[in-house]
Amino acid sequence: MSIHAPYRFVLEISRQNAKEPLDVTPVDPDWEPALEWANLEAIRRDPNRPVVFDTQNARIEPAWSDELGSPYVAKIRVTVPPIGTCRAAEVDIPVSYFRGLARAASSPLVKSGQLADGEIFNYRICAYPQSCGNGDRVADGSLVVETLPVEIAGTDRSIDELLAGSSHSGPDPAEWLPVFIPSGVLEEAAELMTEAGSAETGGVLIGHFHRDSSQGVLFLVVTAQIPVQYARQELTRLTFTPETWAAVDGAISLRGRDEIYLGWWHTHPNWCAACDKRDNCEMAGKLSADFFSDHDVALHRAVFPRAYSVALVLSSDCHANSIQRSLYGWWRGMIASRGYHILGIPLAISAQMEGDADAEIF
Amino acid sequence: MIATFEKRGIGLLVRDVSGQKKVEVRNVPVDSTIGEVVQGSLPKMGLPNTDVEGRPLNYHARLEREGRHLHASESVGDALRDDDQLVLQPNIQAGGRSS
Repeated sequence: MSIHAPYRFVLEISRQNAKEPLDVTPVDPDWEPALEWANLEAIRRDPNRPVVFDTQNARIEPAWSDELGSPYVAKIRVTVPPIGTCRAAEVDIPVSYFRGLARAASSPLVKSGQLADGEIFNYRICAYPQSCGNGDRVADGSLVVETLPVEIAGTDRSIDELLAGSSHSGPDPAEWLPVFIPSGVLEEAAELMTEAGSAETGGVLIGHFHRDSSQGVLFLVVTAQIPVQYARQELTRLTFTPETWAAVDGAISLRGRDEIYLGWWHTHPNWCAACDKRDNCEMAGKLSADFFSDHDVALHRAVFPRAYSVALVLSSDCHANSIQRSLYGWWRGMIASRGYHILGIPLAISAQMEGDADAEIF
Repeated sequence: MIATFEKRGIGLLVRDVSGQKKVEVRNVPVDSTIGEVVQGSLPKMGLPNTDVEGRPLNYHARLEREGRHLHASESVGDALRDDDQLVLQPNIQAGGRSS
């Protein structure tokens, strides 16, 4: 149980159209991504709110289902406390936030035969009030650990000027924080992917936070990518080591432009090209490398926890005819595919790139 | 008469890789280890301590003052000074197959 959410949450799994649950299991959600999302939303909604990232005093409460009533949860409401003269903000998180936990809870049911492999099932969330313990001290009573709010000095900049010189790529839900990536950064990443051949490669995206004060709009501009060094690059794996991160810090320091970490990028190369069974494989030509794996989600969670962080994936299809680029980011505490603006790309080429892909949520 | 003073521990600033998360750790006993400081900081920083397969995530603490990664077994008293800054840098993997 979290100090942010004084409730005990329980997952009920049932077959489709069944009234009685197959299984009832307590769950302990990782609330941090939901808190981060709510923090960012509070900042975006109020142009006067300082760009301060601090989740320690946010609170989580269930909103009860209209149809079933308590203890069944319709959605989760996160309340971000007021700061200065700015009011508190309430942000809703859908119950799909529990999807990963539901998937994990269904595995034993599949193994025991209560659910068929691949069978679609329903899940409901129940919440029961519980008193909080003191979460301010760690298990070792002598250590006192206090979270420090992080304020980002976003500079004032016109978003309209950037929009005029860019084109959009990918899904375009209205609630995304706009992200601008120079075409040069994308080209560098593509060249590095080609040089790496069948091994995965990647890097860190750095840049700045901006606010258009005339419109109250927050947005990010990526200024550069720092290629990985001291990483282990393998066919289906890219391992970022402590030395990798230290090298990125060194590069940012040398550049001296007050850039911050905005996200990361990595590649999913044409795995089929390295396979000696390719000519006889029934999947040849059918596999897509355009996805965000569980390992990718875990890395994003561990290293890029702030809700504005993004992840670029460059992938090559089985025919290695082209490189696809997809951007992922946090959406209501979950990771989803998202759109972005490409700076400096001619309009004639941009017209060919517009896709109508729906956002995919992980 | 000799007055004796008991050392109460030191204070540290700990941040994550991206600089997006920072905590102040006070009263760190000098006989505790770097590993204990790292593990004690992670919950308040909201960072996971296991990877996607449930194995412990390996965070290395880099001492900004010396520019070196500390060993988890080093003692705070030997390696650190009051107000030192540490960066927690994980060994972590991307890629793998789609779920």
